[in-house]
Amino acid sequence: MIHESLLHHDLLFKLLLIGDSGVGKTCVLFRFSDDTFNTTFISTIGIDFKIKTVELQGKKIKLQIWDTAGQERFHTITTSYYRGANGILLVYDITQPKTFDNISKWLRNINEHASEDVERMLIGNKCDMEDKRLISEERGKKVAEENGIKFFETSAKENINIELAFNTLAEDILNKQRPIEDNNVATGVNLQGGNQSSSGGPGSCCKL
Amino acid sequence: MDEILSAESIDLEELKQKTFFGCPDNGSTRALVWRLILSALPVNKAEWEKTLESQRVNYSTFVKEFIIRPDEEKNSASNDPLSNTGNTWDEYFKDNDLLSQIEKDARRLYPDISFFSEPAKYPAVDFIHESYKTGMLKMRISKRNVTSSQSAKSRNGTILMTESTNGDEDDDQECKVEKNWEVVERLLFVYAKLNQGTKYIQGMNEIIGPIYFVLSQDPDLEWSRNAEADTFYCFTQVMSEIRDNFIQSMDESTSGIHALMAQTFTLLKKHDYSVWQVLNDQEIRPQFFLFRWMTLLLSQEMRIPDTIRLWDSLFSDSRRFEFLKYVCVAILTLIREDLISGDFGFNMKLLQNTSDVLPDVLIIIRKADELRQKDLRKNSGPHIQLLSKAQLAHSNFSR
Ligand SMILES: Nc1nc2c(ncn2[C@@H]2O[C@H](COP(=O)(O)OP(=O)(O)O)[C@@H](O)[C@H]2O)c(=O)[nH]1
Ligand SMILES: [Mg+2]
Repeated sequence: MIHESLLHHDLLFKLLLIGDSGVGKTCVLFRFSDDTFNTTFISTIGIDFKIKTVELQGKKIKLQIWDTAGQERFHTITTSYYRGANGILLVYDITQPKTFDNISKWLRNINEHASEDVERMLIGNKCDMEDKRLISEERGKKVAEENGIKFFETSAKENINIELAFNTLAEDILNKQRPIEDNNVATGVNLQGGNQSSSGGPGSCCKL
Repeated sequence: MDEILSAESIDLEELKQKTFFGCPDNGSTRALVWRLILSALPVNKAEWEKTLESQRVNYSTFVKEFIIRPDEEKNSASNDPLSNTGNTWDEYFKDNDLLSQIEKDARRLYPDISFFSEPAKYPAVDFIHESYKTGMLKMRISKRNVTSSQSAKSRNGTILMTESTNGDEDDDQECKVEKNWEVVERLLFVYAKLNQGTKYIQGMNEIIGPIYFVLSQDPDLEWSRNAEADTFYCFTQVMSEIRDNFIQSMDESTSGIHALMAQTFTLLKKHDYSVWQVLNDQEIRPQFFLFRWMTLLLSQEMRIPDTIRLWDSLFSDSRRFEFLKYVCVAILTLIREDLISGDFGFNMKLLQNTSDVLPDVLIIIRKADELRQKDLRKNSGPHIQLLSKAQLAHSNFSR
């Protein structure tokens, strides 16, 4: 409870994992939050949720991470979470070209449903499977550049770049927020520009 | 229960009332009872043989039609899909997309028990003819070819006939052994082909899994050897009643999942206002957890023996699946202390990982029944009679 009072300067960022089913979103999240890898995750139905606290630039940041189901059917459920997200990780599988081809579809989804200043990041997962690779790192980079977003290849299995990806995303959100925060030292910061309408889920970014 | 089942013409209402309090865990009773209350078997025993025979033949026809024939056609046609502009290829590719989607989920069904990764007892069910074995194999192999050729096609327009799946553990030698998850995969594929409106939606695997589990473990071999076909009809029946939960375009309708979740929250508000208020204040929306609870009939929230016991009660609900709402509310009230003291993060975690904190499934069912009876007594309607009978049977709860 003492801890609670120290949390005064802490921040809460809401992140969302999206991408086709089977690309490894749940594994990426578990690697990041629990540092484990399990090949046998059951399929995500609707949404899942994890919290992890990280320290960046001397600040404690609580990351509230929402893991979504990839199938079309769940879009009405999952897109309602886009709105309040501060950051979105869009994941594809470097061994499944179809999941790469769908990136544009996912990006369109973000444009339609997320707030304008959401930080986006492209993740090419399963980079440990070099022998099965069908999408080169260059192609991933290129798409990311075209869309002006950062890109990492990761492996949840071998623990490659997972932490780096999340931390980079969190840092980018933090940096974006800084100027606003300076003008609003005393009050809570709302990146959504006062948008209160979104449902609970990943609501707007706020000071705790 | 044996008494009810021994009648020439089974009293379904009576059977349901009994089943509500649970089927015995050993023997063949549950598999038989589920077939009956899910209408995969007529109540009149004289009709059993004919019905079963025709259902099983039908199912094998579906398998031939959707799996074996397309494979044979493909193999007799030109080996180069690009030279063929007919529909068959188009359909074939689409089928393979569908299959790879189903495969991913069938593969990761109930990883905490070994059953689904064990060899199926009746791999090439003998009601299907011998070529079935090759049909199954061909399907698997072609599946790989097409997956990789598609990817290759999208890159440079040529077809590579190399294998590429993420099925690391299945050697080619092992292809001859069919595992239980592969039976589930085939069942879901046939269902998807027959139900073009829904096709395959993630989560259907979690509905069919426990049904197949129960039917295929029937110690009576005469029954269990036909588990696959019979599962298909039980599953089809369950789906016909919960299908709207799976269909996106139904989401906002009165029978859709949002309405169902809203009704459950209303029920919670009525029966445990404090818990409702906590969830409401913390903006924990029904879709954050109830969506999964309800579409999957709670199968991801508990271990499989408990799911099966719960489904005895859910399936025997005379206003199927009304009781599900009460079960969800019961769970929430049973973990109320935790919920009331927890913050948003704690509560979300709790609601999404209930299997560690849930009390015994019988306690949940009893609580849910209690809540339902309370409501029924208040609204005293035609159900009150049916209910007092059920109350009498309460003693069956002690296990
Ligand atoms: N080799 C490898 N396999 C992975 C990796 N991440 C996930 N997988 C596998 O990919 C499959 C799907 O993973 P999952 O996290 O459930 O995918 P989701 O549907 O996007 O959540 C599982 O069988 C995982 O074991 C990875 O980094 N490397
Ligand atoms: Mg997942």
